[in-house]
Amino acid sequence: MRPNAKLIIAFAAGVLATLLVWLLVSVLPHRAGQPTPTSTTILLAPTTSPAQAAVSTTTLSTTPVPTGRGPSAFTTTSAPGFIQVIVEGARCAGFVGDGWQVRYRVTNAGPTDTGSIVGQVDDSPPVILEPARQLAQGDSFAEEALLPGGGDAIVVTWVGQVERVASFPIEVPNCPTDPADERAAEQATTTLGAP
Amino acid sequence: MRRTSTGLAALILALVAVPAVRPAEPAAASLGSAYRDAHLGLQTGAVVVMSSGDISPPTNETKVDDHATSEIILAAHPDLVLTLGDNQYETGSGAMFHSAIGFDGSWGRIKGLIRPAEGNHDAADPGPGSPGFQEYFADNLANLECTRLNPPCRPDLGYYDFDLPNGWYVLVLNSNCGRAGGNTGDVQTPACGRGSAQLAWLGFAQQRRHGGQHSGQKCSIAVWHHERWGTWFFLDDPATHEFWLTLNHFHADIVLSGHTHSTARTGPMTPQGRLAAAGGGIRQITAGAGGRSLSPLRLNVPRVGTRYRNGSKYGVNRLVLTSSTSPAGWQGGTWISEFDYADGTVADNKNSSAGCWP
Repeated sequence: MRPNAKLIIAFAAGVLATLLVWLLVSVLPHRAGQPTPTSTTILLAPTTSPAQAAVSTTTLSTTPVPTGRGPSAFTTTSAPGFIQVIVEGARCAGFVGDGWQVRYRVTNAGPTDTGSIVGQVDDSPPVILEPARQLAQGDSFAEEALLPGGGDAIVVTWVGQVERVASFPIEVPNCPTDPADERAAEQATTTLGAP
Repeated sequence: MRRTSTGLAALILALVAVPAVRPAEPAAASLGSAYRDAHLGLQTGAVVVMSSGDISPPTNETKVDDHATSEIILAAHPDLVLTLGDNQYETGSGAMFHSAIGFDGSWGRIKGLIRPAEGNHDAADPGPGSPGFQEYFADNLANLECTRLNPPCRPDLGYYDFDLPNGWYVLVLNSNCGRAGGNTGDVQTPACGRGSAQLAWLGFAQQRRHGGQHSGQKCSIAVWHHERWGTWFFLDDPATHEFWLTLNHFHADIVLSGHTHSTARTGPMTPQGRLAAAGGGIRQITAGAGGRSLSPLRLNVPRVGTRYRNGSKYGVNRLVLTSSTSPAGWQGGTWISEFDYADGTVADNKNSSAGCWP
């Protein structure tokens, strides 16, 4: 029995030492304020289905680690001024290049202003979503409009006579590729070097 | 038996501690002028490397800025071109990669010089293993020496390494962490973290490259798509924290990334995202203005460590890499970085007078 007891004690000591080392190695980075490197957080990807909502439905798992890869990673603050423009969501309008159905909200806590609402995808030319609108004091409205184009981010801007206010840029979901566009791309394939 | 258990603990300690524990920062005094003079006097063979990511718009969009950036490279005659991911939008379709109005019609003109990295849009191609990307770049990724080593690199999964003729060393990693693990989409999973095959390979590759030492054998560049330190549109991306930690341990010099459609350079950064003491840290160069589009600004206040950033121009990064060997046999070198824009301007010409991190 004695040899077995020694064996067990030695084995237990080895396991404890290993656990202690592992614990130290795992804990040290936290003290430096680093994100948990061993976390297995999964940020579900925004859907690419045009039938489903997009940015606003990005879902975090129960133990989120900020990834910096989605709009939920940002803490936004109000723009200075009476008028606020918030993009509440965007979903694919169809295939790549067709743009997004953008849902936005505009509020006005200041004097009446008259202007238009403009949307922009990345550095593409701005598109007028609403040509003319009056915004009285206390007004708040939400609209959904088609913003055509392709890119990664959208900005909606109130262009008023009193104020010009842009929304926080929101990342939009990838949209599926139209099979017809793929066929068209194939037809443009070069065949240099063919006999 | 006691000796056996102690030995087991020591072995596990060695296996666990090597990739996880950062070495002490090198003393600034060790990077003095004597070291630099000894190296700079022996420079040999400059290698010009040009790079960008976020390149070719989907073929149904009438944008040609990727053509403009490829013209910059064609005119510069570099030795090597590194693509930093998101080569072909929107979903890395093989048909669009090969199209004369897609990647092949612009950057495809310099395809023979390219070593590619995968981006999230490349990985969005339906099917296992980014089929459009892998098929288009099959020749570029074939017969890599690292595939014959043990453990092998996995260019089919987006990570591999190679040497440049003048002794610089390049690592390409896959920051599509979910995709590398067999999932889909732009998500954070352990595929870039501890326990992942990719990170284990990175540790082995670095130790192999350094002959068991943590530094002093070369100057090195690492490449992956998602920038670690947010410079324009995205926040910091901790999904690649372990990459930076390991590379910092082995004194890598430059990380090239994209994802944000803009250009930037940071000073030498620690794994904690702060500026490193003199002689330490890794520079991040972001070149994501390759042609797809330009991102709007979200980070109004530049991140700590940001030395330069621009979001209004399409362009590429140009690195001139030199090397030298000290009388003691240590390899070192210097680098010069600049951004070459499609409008003909050049910005942020940075000469690393201190050379590589020894």
